[in-house]
Amino acid sequence: MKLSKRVLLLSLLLLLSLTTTLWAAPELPNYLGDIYVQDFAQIISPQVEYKLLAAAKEIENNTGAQISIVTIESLQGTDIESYSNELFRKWGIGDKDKENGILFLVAKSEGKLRIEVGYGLEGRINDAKAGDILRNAAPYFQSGEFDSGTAVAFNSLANEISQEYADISPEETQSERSASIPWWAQLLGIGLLIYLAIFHPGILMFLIFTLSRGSMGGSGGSRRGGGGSSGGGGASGGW
Amino acid sequence: MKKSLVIIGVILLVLFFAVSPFIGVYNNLITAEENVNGKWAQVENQLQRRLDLIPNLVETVKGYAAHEKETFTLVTEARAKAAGASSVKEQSEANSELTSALSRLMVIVEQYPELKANENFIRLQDELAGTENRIAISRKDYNDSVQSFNTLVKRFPNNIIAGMLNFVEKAYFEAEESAQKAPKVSF
Repeated sequence: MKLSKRVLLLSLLLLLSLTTTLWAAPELPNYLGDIYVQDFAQIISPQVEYKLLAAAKEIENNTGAQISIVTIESLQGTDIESYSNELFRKWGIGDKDKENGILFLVAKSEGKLRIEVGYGLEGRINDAKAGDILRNAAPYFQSGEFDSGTAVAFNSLANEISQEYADISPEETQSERSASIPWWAQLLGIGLLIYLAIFHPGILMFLIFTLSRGSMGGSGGSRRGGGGSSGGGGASGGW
Repeated sequence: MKKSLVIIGVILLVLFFAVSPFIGVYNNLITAEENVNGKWAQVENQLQRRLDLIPNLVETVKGYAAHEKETFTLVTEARAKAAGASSVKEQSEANSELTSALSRLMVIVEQYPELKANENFIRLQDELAGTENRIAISRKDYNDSVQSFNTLVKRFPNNIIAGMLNFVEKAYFEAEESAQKAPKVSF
């Protein structure tokens, strides 16, 4: 048993090294927890990270657009353009159909920055605009103020997104579901729940169990990428 | 009467079993080919985007470096050639020529600090860089789709069926190594 596990691990490693040598692709990290802020290089303070996380979550709730801020230690020899595009697609930032994701990537040791824009937001954030945002943020990175630099870039991106979705009021997108159920149906539902609790507690338990499992992948657990893609739009910069 | 019906049924069944693998292979080939076509359309989109950007870029550079006529004609000619190209091979050649002409232009830009500081130019440069990157990515996606199509066509027994149905291998969109690097210019 132990041996077979080791063999499996070894062959996996071999396969991994084979693929990396064949494609010369960097090993892309997986995200932990919410997709919004992934500070692998450990350059963002916890306070700012918390604020960014909350703001990015609110943006997704209101507009559906996803902003992901990622800091990495090194690009492992690849250029930042291919790294960010592969990471963007691997994580699937943004909605699959709307393609409304944005990746802000910081490569610490190379001193490189990139904003990668999903297809759906290319109209609002064109390459020149993405370049402007990076040029505004770069001086902060240069002087080592990673918190401020990240916040400046994030705020500009958030601003653009809220302008893009200005005509959609947040109430419409959020409370669609709960508002569409009339009061009598809600009463009926509550009555049914009470009935089940008294006469068929087994069925109720089963229902609760399956429902909670179903929502785990959605809004219940941590926020994940929606399968969005990018065609390489955006801009690169550095400090 | 009944016997002939049975015979017809058997013939139909045999025919069905003989044809069904063809249908499966055919459908796979069609799907893969459509994928290649879709990816190629993306490449053409991005190439067109670059062609649209160039006149504006040349005009802006001209405002600061009017006497670099040679390079402007080089870029303009390469652009015209790329605009006229149609097949994958033609497009691939014409566009790598255009890429090297553009990098010549960018070398010139280095000599004009005022131009480099021009806000309009900086943003044009962003657009150009973004477009080059889009071309690179759409080219990679296209080549990946061609690879899986070609593997499908060449694999046995698909190759027999593909040959009968006139499916031929697709061409890769190649980027010449020399075109990706900025050429050296002697002064």
